[in-house]
Amino acid sequence: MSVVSLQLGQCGNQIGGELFNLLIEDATKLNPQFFSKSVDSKVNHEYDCEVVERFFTRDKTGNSLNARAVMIDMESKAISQTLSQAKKSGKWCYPEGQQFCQKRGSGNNWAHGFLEHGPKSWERVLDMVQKEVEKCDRFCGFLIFMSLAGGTGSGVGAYITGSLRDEFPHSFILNQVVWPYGTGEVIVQNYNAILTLSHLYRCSDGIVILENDKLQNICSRLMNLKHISFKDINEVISHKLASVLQPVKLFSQGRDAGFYKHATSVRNLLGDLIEQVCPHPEYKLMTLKNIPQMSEKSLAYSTYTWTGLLKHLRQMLIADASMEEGIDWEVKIPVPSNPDGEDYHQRPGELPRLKTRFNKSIANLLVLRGVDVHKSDLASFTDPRLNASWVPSGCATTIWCHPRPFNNYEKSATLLSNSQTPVAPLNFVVQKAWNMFTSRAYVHQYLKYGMAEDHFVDSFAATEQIIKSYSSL
Amino acid sequence: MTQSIVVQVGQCGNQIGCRFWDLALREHASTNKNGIFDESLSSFFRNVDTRYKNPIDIPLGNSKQKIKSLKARAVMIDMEEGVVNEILKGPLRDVFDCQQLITDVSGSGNNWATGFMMYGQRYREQISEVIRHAAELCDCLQCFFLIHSMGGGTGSGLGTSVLNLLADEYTDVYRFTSAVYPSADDDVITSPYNSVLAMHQLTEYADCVLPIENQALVDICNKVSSALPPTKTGKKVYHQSSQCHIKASSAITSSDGGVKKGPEKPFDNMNNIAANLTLNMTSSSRFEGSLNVDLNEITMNLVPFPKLHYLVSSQTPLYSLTDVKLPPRRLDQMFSDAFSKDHQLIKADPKHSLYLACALMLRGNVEISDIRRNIERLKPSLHFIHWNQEGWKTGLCSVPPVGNPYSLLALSNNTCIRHTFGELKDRFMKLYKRKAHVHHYTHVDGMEASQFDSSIESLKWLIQEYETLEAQMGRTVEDIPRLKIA
Amino acid sequence: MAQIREIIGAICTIFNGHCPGEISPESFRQAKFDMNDTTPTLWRTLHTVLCFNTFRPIDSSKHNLVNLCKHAMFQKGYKVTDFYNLPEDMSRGSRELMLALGWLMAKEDIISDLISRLEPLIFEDPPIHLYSNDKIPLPKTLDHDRGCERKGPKNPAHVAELLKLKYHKLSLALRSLLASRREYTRAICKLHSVPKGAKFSSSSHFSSQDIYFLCHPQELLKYEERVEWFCNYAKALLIWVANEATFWKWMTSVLNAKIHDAKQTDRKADTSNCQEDQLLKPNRILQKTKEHQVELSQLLHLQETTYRTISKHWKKAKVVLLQSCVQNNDDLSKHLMLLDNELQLQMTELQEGSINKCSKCWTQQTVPLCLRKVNQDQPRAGKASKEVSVVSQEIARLTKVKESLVYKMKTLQEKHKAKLYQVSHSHPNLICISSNMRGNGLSMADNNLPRHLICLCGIVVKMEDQVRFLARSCI
Repeated sequence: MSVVSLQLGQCGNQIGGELFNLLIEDATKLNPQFFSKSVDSKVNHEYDCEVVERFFTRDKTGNSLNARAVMIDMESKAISQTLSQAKKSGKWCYPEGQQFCQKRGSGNNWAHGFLEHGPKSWERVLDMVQKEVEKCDRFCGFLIFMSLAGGTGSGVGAYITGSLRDEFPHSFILNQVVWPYGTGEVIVQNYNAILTLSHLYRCSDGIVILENDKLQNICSRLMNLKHISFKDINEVISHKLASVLQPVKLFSQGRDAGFYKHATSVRNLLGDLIEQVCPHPEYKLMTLKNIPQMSEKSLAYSTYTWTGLLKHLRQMLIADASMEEGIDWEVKIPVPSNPDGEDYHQRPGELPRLKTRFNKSIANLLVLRGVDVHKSDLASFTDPRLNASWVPSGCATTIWCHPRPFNNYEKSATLLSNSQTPVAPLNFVVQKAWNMFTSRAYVHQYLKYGMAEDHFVDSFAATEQIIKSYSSL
Repeated sequence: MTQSIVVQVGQCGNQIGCRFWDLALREHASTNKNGIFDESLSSFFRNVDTRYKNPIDIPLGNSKQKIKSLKARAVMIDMEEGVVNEILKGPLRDVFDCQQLITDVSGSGNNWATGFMMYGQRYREQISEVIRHAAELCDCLQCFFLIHSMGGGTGSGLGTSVLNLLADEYTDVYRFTSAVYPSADDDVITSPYNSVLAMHQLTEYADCVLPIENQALVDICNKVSSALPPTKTGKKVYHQSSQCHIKASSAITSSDGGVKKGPEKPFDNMNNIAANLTLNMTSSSRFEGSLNVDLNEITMNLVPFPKLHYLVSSQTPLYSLTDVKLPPRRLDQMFSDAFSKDHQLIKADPKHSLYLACALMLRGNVEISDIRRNIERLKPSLHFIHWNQEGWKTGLCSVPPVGNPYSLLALSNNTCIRHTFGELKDRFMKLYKRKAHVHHYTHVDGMEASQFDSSIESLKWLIQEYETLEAQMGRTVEDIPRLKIA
Repeated sequence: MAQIREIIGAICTIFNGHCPGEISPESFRQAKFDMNDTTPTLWRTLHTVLCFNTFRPIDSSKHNLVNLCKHAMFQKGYKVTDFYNLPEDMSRGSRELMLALGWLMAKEDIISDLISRLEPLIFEDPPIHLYSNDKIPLPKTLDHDRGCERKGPKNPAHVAELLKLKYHKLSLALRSLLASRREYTRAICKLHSVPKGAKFSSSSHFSSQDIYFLCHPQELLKYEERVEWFCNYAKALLIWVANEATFWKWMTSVLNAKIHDAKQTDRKADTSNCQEDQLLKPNRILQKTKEHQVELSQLLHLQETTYRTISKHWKKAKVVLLQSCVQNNDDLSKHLMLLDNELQLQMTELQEGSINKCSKCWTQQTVPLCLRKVNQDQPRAGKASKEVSVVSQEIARLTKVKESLVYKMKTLQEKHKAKLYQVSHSHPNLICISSNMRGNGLSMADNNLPRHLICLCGIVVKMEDQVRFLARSCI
């Protein structure tokens, strides 16, 4: 089923462009060494078709691919840059006339985006979105790329997400948000972040959080990059996202390779993803953990086993590590005989300090891609202790897979998890924003656009509620 | 893409403005090799067809038009004819046309009241008309850049009068003011009066003020010239080892490559610095980059409280080495320098005062990881206010300045500015205690003595505000407890 | 009789549509003659028919099947003992079964029910089973956690969270469903936009079915078969609707055959049984009722003559009585006085027997009552006196006549009641056959029967009134 993407602001447009690039790159190119019995040209062709159907439209001639995307920014530079880069790739481009830009940016001001640009732009954006949706024979939902820090991505993004929800009440909306650096890239980012998050929480179905800090760590430590540009970070983001969004099949234990060759793919990817990972209306934050991740150079010299990968990934989950390096192996799931020690009463908003506390989840989605995927043993992920006690074990962990290697990785595993991971950064952001708010710093910039202080307080309350919900799991 | 209009008032304003247009042309010439009138050019220039008697604008279209004849989006105002005439005779004459000019012959006599009250009233209609004309030629006007001095009569008086007018007529267009503050030993005796009276207006009506101190400019010039190969001054103060070759054209004071030829004027070095400030500040909104900073983001991020919109700026590097390789040490040095005392455009030391917010706007071959690394490195030595410990705004523009592989413009809202203001206040009080020269002002129609009082009150309030904030430095303020969810 | 063959064939087609290959017209024919070969078939058919509306698991063992059917029939209200006496091994009783089947068909109106349930097989969308593709993986549903639910959270807060989760999950699933629905609509829309060749003038576009069959020729063959079957089925239903009456006539003949057989086999049985047997036949009942009617009218006629004589006598008696009454009024009063005294004496004696004071009160009240009684018993009192001879004799005679009449009437009434009871008792058996069938012969009898009964009742009531009147007049 097709997904319509909305790219908002500079960050959203950059990520969107990078993601489409990777999707099509992965679909059309497969390292010949990966061809095998279970991945033959037929499987490959199917994969290709599915990617195209989900994210692209073919134009009348059938030769060139257009991304199913609407680009929105309040200034033109980022859009034109992304457009030209897409054209340069030669494989795909953006549809004509599906770009919306104003002349003046939102100036990092959430209120400017939400209260002024958003309502002003909505009608035209809706036209474009309608047009794009009508191109889909099988439309299932929206994927929205945006940042939390800026004004356009966050302010206009929050407005447009809310309006889309009103306009398409039955479609799925998945927001991908980029969490700003802990030490700012925008000074008012914390305000913008909580305002955005509290609004998204109301109207979005799921929010995938990608933290710039962690992404930069991945770039420097796993990819061995010295000078990390936004392009590198966006590549990591798109790798993570694509590893979930590419075609997958439902995993069933004990099947042979031939089974997956013939099995039909998960059709309503977005819907199923949301249904599986965000089944509870109060828990909508998702994070992505993937393994392995490395530079192309070292990729050629490494080999992995499923057992090893899954062992690492599981520890990443329970120890809340963003990458395979530096995982705290001491974190263990407590044995049932002694489920909660003295540290049971932790303050809300505070991550457990003792090692016996681990990163608890609502639900997890494990996506395995690559050679011999059928041989992996997933018992460790179906442990009900991974999840909050009230989550029915049947719907806590979903496993998808595809025998086709992804993005040149022979084997790769990605975990989309709805867990306590976002509590720490969220708590950090709320603390900063609250400090600033109690000094009334920058508040006048927001009030200028007709926002009320109550609006801030409401958003604070909403985010505190999120923190509380998650930390009381 | 948005457009900006530069309004240059007074002798100083016009001289800096002149340098600005020269450098702007140089910059665009170096990035725009094929002579296409593109969006980035359109932000400060118009493309006109001069074959017609009343030159008409060639629309930007799809950025495919050839450059015919560039016209600056500028309004030049002076109450003397000297400087303006010189510009119109000079090599830059084609960039301006007479419709953008407002001149008088008599001058303001270093009297703010004459500029603000007399000329302000007299020329209000005319100025409004000229600005309206310029604004109408803009597709989306975002910002006015006012350049004027604070000490003189025309710059400070008429300049702030224009600011008033802009605030009145263009409420949603940002007003950035580059204000040149007089040195302590300024030859104009009434400069403290003029500055304080003008500052009242700036505090009230500007969105953002970039104070530039004459003395700071002089010091930077000296520093650069001492490092430059001894062509003129012959002084050789700085270490000049064999591997350290400095590119003369890369210096921040240099105007090499500009349209202007012939001997440099005495103030050109200093004016180039001030002109570069505006150029660097707008670079991110004119050129593409991976982290754009629009002009409105500057005020949004750097002005936490209304009226506290005086930003301390510094630009590094002052010059670059001929060595093509970029050792990270050089890059890191650039960051360190930006926070050092002698690179600031006012005579103040931000390192020992409290930062409310800081913006780092980078150009050229710099990546986000470089910024992050340096922020982490510099943070311990800087004091940030407790509620804004991460008060960094960063921008990345991929087009470097002419002659440099990279550059950094640091804009900060720092309480150190209160010292500059404090000195100004003292000098004002010294005169005002004796009511010296006050009658020159009160003679002017519409000027009242209460203006002095309200202006000095406004300045005192400003200083007080900064002092209160600085008092919070290093103090751990008890947090108001966060909201509790039952 | 060609018609009946056709309709039985139709019924077989209808039943076979639901229980394939079981029943044939031959089975019906055999059942009419109570052949035993066809019994199992009929049992199964009966079972199928009983199970039309419910999804009862078919237990293949004969024993269960028979008991199941009997149980179900009993529940439906079938009350023929012969049916319940049928052996469980399905060895005999095909005719009884046939009758039961007939009863069931009539009672439940099965055929019209089937007609109403008939859905057109040819429509735009291919039936869902054509899509059935087991390759499409279904996402995990909440069913999966039914197992762990039992040991689920105890904490009420957790239960609340769980409920929220489930509700949200359901609403998300619903949205997926809606997305699929939209997708489907789009697909149909797209198909319709493909213009059809000019050959087919009926519609201007391909239906999704057309496309499907173009892609899958085997499916088309299968579909053709299905449509053919459906046509036959529909035709059978049509025949049924047109010729229902014939079937019921045939069914009557089966019933008659049964009764006939029963007469032959139970010849030695007593007449009442025989009568009962005869009564079971509706036509006979009609006859019988008519006979009763005649009998009753004769009786009435008879009564009328007696009535006339009685009234004549009564008139005479009245005159005489009046005269004598006037004459004997004084004597009578005297006698009455005496009688009263005597009575009072007797009363006091009785009173004396009871010591209770309260009883006094009671006696005082009873006295006038007694007196009235005495007054009412005037003729008898008159009878007590020797002077009232003629009248009293006449009265006595009349009373006797009246009593005999009343007795006669009572016996008649009782007899009638008994018959009524018989009729009503056997009523479900007979009335059933055509309970709500429209316009067939049996229903006539059926409808008339109660009317006759009412008629009879009316007559009886009239008679009662008359008798009562007579009696009163006698007095």
